[in-house]
Amino acid sequence: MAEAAALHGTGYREVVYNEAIVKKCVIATMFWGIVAFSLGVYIATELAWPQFNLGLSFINFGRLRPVHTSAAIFAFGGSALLGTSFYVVQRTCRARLFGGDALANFVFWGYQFFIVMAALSYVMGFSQSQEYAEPEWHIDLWLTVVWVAYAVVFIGTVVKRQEPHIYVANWFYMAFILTVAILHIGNNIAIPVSVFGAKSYPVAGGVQNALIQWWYGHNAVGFFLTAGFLGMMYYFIPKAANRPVYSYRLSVVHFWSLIFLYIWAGPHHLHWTALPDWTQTLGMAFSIMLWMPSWGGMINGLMTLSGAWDKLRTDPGLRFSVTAVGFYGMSTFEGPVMAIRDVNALSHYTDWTVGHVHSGALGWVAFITFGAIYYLVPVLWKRTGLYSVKLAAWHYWIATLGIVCYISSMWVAGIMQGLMWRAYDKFGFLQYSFAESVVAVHPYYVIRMLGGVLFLTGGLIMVYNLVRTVRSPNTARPAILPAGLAVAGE
Amino acid sequence: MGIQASDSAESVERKPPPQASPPSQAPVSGASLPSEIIVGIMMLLFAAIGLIETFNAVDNEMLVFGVSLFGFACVFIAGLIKGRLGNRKAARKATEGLRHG
Repeated sequence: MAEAAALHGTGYREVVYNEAIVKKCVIATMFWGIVAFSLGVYIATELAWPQFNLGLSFINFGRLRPVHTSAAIFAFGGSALLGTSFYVVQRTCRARLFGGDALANFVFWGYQFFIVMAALSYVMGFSQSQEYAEPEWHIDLWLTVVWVAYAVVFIGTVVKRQEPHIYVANWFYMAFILTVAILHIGNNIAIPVSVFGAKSYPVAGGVQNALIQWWYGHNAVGFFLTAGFLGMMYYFIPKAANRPVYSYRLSVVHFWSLIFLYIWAGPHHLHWTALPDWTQTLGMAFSIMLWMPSWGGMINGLMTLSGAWDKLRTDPGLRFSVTAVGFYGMSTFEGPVMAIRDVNALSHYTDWTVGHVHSGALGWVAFITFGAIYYLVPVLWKRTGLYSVKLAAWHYWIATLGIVCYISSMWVAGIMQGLMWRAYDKFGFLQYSFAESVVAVHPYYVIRMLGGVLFLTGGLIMVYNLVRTVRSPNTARPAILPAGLAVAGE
Repeated sequence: MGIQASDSAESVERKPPPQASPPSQAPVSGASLPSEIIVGIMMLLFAAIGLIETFNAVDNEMLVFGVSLFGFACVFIAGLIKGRLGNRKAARKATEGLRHG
């Protein structure tokens, strides 16, 4: 379960790391990943062929969609962030997790409980109707307790570190933990109808509620799906490449500029609404400025491979990580473009947005997680390597093809929708009805669904490969014999 | 796996460890009784909240939540007790092992 640091004579205490909790998180990540991808495929099928709703309320698109997004972001992404942050903070601080095993276990199991409760409440038809913040008040309160415990474990470990320096990955993880706490509380201030009932209503209403919601929503992207996973990037890419970070100074500039700018960008989700014009302009301006730190971070991640590019041929985990950084660069270029008010007039409410989100979620979040998992499983389970590098390569190419199918079909569908909705005939009437635009996008919805099937297939290959990695005798590490002792028969 | 001294080598420079962490003797492990007691008390509180919500629930969702919270807290407490008993057993075995040999 754990390993001791044999560093006698260096002045460091020996530390037995809590690896059991990281293992649990890795297993949860793989499990929730398959759940999230499967649900995505199913609801994509429902969108292409609505008959798949089967007339059952609890599996219609409106209820399953938040189950899919929560499973992908909070269950799959969140479990990956919990696991990698616990792994990284222990190793870079040379300290066991603060608060003992009981508190770490509470964070893990409490978080899993939150996910299951949230999913159950969605399928039962309960929702705050706020995107990425659908759980009702009692589940929000539970998450607050779990999150505070997580912050105590992580920050406590940083405080009791033996290393004099706080490695940059930990800065990103801390920004993720603290900001998500503020966002979660700020966006979920609601008054329940009864303390014994699930329904509640937010304190803010109208455009104020919308602004708070998208301050939360965009920063859920910025701090949950970006800052946390950048922490992952800054640890696992240098480790897998066996190279130091290209520029530590750039990573510090990346950190401070990213967290300063991201928090203001939310209003770009509310262009052309009742939100005051200046607020929309502020959101747009900060979104465009975000290009700089985002690309600074991307360059830092990619240049870390200087002199180690050959490892991409042999290390499929590193290939995932580097491709993830590429997708990060692409998504963080596309996002500011879509935040420009005139571009947004075309893209908003269309499937272009859905494609953009998935280039980030699948290309960046999922790929950087796959890279970390392929690195972690042999290390945590003490194996010599992966069961099959070839299977990991298959996973890589199938998943990449799936993403390409997904995002290119959504680009085409989205731009077509936007153009059809704004087209006028020579008499000034709308040229197309909404139903005509729905018919027009049908083939692209089918391609999107097939892209999802490919991504899910890749995920299943990964799970098979990693289960075999843990169980196969071929990957077992040979027992180290004391000096002078020979194996019988040798 | 041996610990990689390079784990923190990504940091800008390696400085000597802070004075506050003197070289010590025993490895730091995860057994922490105060932590178990605090988490255990929290779980008792959650179990009580779960029961109250269950018996007063005005809708199905809160009923499911209350029952689940109570169940979660009970299972977690059972896990804490089992872990503590397991640790004691292991410690006793280790002591006996030392005594006999």
